Amino acid sequence: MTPETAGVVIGTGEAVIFWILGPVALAGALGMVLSRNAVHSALWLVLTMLSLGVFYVVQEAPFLGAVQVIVYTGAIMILFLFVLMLVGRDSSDSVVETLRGQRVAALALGAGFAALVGAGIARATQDLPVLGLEQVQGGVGGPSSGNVEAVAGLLYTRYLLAFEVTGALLIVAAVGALLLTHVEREPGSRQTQKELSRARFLTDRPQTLPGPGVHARATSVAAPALLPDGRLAEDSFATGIEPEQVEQMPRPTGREQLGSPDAALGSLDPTLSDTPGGRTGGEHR
Amino acid sequence: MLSTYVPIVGLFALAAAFALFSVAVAPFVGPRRYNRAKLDAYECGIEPVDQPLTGGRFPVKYYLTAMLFIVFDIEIVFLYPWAVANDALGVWGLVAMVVFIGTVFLAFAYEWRRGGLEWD
Repeated sequence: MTPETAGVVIGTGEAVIFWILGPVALAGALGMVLSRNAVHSALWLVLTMLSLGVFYVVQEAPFLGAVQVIVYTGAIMILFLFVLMLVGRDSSDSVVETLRGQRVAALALGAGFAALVGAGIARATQDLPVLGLEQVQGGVGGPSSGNVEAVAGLLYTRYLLAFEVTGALLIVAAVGALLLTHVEREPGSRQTQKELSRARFLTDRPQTLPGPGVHARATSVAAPALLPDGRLAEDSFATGIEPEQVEQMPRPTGREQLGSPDAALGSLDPTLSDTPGGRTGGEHR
Repeated sequence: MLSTYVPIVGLFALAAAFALFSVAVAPFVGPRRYNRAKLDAYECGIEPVDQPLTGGRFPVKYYLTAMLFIVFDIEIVFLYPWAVANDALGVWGLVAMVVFIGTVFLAFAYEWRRGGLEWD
């Protein structure tokens, strides 16, 4: 393989993957822009980013592919989703133009920016000789020392300033997040775990609080246990004592509010009441 | 070169085929005997609601966690090529990396000192 043609030859596998994943990446980008739900937008973007990661790998840049997946689909996407969840996932986007002519201006500026970037890249790469991967990567440890070494050789020498500025950018991001979200407390105003524990044991009720949904309605030994479907558990009846019906808490959200899966299934006992233990027929044998 | 990745593609295909097969076949071969108990929350669990009371929002504190995660994620990404090419880069690379880690650590130390990492 001569150096002139080395970068031009595109293997069959690469071509196949490009023509499959290229449209997929494009569809992901369009879906991100066009979907109404913000979470769906984020998921479309994940599709595009993963496709780009595969493209990197196919072009024999496995390190960049891994970085694409780890940083973009991992970290950046998580940040996007966090922001979505902070704002509230049901907040819909406004269809009212707050700035007059905003959309037209955005379209024109977007097209202009795309043209500018395209022209810039085209000019910069116009008469660039195609060297091939092995020639380009021969930077650090001799010819074709590898992907990661080639990246490192440029990143920490020629592009050192950009690398250190990235550190400054990370500082700005982290400190900005702290300043925006952190609420200062007076030193000592926060109770430690020890103090909280001591305060609890000084009350007349030193045990832990009950978990959700397990409030006991009776302390009597005559109160029977309930089966999951609301019937009384025979095994829990105390010997010689008539089981005492305990008034149950109403369920916080009845099934009727959530639609009726019981009716839809059609195979359920309709005589069961909505409160556990409050079985109206009294059928427990 | 690409043939290195053929096993991964095969694995993806296998996983997708298994998922599709399971979802498609389960309704036909699995028993379906529903009753009220099966639709209930397990034992003492609370009844599920489709929307939390806070309107489905996270506390804003998580944003700080996410930001720190990104900061360290990017730091690791930069550390990796430096570690691989350390022999070729020498002292220069070490100094560059120490300066970078120093700047990032500054933000971390500030956050720590201000109490941004304490949860409540």
